[in-house]
Amino acid sequence: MIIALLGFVATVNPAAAALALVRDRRTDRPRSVTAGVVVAATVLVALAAAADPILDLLDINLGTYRLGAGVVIAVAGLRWLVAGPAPACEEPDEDRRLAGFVAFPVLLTPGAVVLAVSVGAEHGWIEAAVGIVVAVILGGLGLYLRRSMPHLFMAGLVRMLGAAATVLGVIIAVDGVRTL
Amino acid sequence: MNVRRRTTRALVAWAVGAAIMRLTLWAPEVCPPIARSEARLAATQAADWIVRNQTDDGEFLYDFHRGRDESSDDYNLVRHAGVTMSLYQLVRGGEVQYLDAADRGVQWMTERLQPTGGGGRAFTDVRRAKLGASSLLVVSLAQRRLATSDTQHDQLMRDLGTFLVEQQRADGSMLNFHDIETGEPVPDQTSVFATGEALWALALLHEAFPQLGFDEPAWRTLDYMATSRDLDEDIFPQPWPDQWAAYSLGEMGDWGLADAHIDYARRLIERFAMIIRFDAQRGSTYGSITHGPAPRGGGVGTWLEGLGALRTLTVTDERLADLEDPLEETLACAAGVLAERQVEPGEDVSAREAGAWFYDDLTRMDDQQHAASGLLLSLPVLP
Repeated sequence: MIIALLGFVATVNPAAAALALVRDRRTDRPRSVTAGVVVAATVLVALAAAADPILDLLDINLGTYRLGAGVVIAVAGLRWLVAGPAPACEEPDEDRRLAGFVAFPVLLTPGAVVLAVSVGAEHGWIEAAVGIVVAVILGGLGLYLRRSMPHLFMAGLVRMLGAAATVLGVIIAVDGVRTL
Repeated sequence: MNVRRRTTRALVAWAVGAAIMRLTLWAPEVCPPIARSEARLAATQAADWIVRNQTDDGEFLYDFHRGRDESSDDYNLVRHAGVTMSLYQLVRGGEVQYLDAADRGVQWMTERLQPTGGGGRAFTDVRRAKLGASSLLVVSLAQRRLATSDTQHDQLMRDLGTFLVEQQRADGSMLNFHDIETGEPVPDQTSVFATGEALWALALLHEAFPQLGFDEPAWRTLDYMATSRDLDEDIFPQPWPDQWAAYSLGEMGDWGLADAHIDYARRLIERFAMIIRFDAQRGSTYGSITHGPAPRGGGVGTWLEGLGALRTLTVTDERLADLEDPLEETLACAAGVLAERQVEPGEDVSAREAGAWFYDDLTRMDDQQHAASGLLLSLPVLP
């Protein structure tokens, strides 16, 4: 449970979410951010719940899936580790667009998506859901409270979580090789 | 940057990434369904190829190139012994029609025995005896003994066993060559294949003659293989997918394996399974492009042998019980893949092609050997 939770925190990377929007405008739209968090959490939990049908659809077994998932998570983590956070975007005027942006691509990261299926298949959707909910709420909070957070610290945290995701990805890939 | 642009870029990156993953690591695994009767038929068709192309004096056809319609002059004593062993496995599995051909294979080998320096005998036709050839002769004779209860070769088995022990070093590793003229093992030369072959032979010798103490050298070599062999041989990735080690572990399953041996067995199962999954991905429409050409029939056969031999451990040893179901699923998958690649016999198919597996238009006798043995071992898990 704890490892899954840490895995979702590393792959969602709430610090990167906190730096996704520029800090110079002072709009205050908690509903839009909440909507984005709910959408992202719902999608990820749904993916975890549908893990077995997804693997059947792909015609691959869990070991093969975890090998690929590990690679995706490690590459995404490496990108954060090496390049740091993505350039911040201007906050959109429309509420719906802001919510959509919070959900994708800010919280629905490639690593989180593939991890949701992996954890769902291996440990069940409930265990996945706990990690998912915690990680996306942290991401949403980070985005909403971004102006009160020191930029340099958050940028460093992005790289640190990227490093954690890289290590996690390697572990999952190796485990995938060993899974029958 | 605005939100629309970043979202679009992310969508494109996701689409490209998903396509790359689907084409490579997440390519579909194609496992053709196969019934037990079909697998048995494929195994006997492979054995038929071996027997049909055997000469009266017991020598087997070494290889055949269907593009050039010719065979080479090569021959290999280790492979001769392995092919003979496979025929005896089939005899043990109820295919008694191969007993005569297998016996002729043994006769050919018994005409090529040399005394060794330590009082044993080795199967060789040159002055440098190869460990694997004698090991697989022992295995052949042991399989024959188990199939027929005939003890006529017992003295030869014991002499060959003496030779195997001569080749063992203190750490359990095995020297690959024995100089017939000096009567000494050739120092410092080992083989990644021969060590496991010798171990299986030692295990079978102990099963046949429990009072002679062949279990002690067998344990020593198993300890070495489980802990040091892959490091000494610079194997990467580890472990070496060694079906001979798998046979040995299966044979020694009721001897009281230590945790280190079980851990080795687990790692072998994982390794075989991963290779089989990768091979199954070649069955997709684009698999041969993204995953390379299908391996030799002998290659896939060895993976089947490895998993088939270790299956008994997953059934009998609770430390491996969690692997029983996935192992059986993987074994069935590999059997289907292997059988599908066999050349079906037919009126317009030559005697040197029917029942064989070709790679680059070439088939070699050990392709049919390993495939037949592997398919035979897969039978218990097939519907």
